[in-house]
Amino acid sequence: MSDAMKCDDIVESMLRGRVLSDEMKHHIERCEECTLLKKSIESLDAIGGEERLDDISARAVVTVLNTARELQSGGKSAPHARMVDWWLLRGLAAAALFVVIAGGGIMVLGRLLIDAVDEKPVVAVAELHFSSTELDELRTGISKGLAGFGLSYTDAAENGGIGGDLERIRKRISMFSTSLEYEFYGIN
Amino acid sequence: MADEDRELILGLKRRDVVSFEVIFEKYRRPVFSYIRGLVRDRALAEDCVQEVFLELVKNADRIDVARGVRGWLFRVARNKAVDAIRRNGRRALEGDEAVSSESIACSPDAEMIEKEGRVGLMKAISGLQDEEREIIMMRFFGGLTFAEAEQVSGISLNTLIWRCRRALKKLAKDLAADNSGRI
Repeated sequence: MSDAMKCDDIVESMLRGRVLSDEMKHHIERCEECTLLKKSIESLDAIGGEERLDDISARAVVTVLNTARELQSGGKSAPHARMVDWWLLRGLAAAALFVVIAGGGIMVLGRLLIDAVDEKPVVAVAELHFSSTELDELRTGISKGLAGFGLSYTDAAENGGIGGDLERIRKRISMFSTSLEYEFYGIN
Repeated sequence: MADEDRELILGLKRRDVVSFEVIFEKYRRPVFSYIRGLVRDRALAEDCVQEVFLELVKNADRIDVARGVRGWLFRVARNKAVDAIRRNGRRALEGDEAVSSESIACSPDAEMIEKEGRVGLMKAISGLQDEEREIIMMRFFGGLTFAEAEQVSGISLNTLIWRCRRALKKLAKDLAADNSGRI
């Protein structure tokens, strides 16, 4: 084995913290480079060990511990937990309002709109069954129910758990709104 | 090491505050030492350490119990340090060196010599290439084994050892030049 390879093996053994053989120790004594490298490793080990005793400030320690405690207990500083709860609440509230305001009218409207898919004119059918005041109330209720909370249909569907129905109704209301030239705000 | 941390990681996944505090107490100093060596600024390193441990709380569910938390912490620490360097640019060891210089001037002789050696070594480390300095930081300041450093950095074991050997040769050369200059 060449001297260079021997030096490399010895350095690697020292770096890995292996016990050095007598032959290796003898080589180090005779080799200036290995002697220097050994001293460097020992210095680095010593300084590194001292550095690892150094610490972040007490203020930083307290900050981390307090924040971690709040996060783990799902407190005010737990943004992820708070967001899920808040969206769930809004979704449920939107869904409840949707049902309350629309009430029976939505059931009829839904039926009408489904019928509309069967190529019956939406406007004509709606005007046959609702007064203009009732139509206005329905439009307002639907838009407030969802848009008033700043929720998109997708959000309300995901958090309110009534995705399928809302998606179907969304499509129908899109047709309805287009026909009546009504703009829904905040609804995707 | 993985066995010792196993119960702590399971506790962390159960949102046990005490488990987190034990892990924090155990690893905050080596993580701080490692990050400070990379970002070279104490205040910045403190910010990074805080971010690392808050990530630990938020992502406890993702930690692989079998692999332990140590490698995970240093991996995150490395990412935070790299992000901090990108945001803040590279800093020389100005703050740390200034303090060391002042303390050397006031020290008794033997202490002064030791501190000079330390400052010299830290200066030499600053002069290394990034990849060389990183393995020095992981191995000597973070206290990682090469196997752990491989996990943290994603760089092969042989490459890490080769870089470390190269870094050591440079450091040894700088220190030898420094010592002969003083004679």
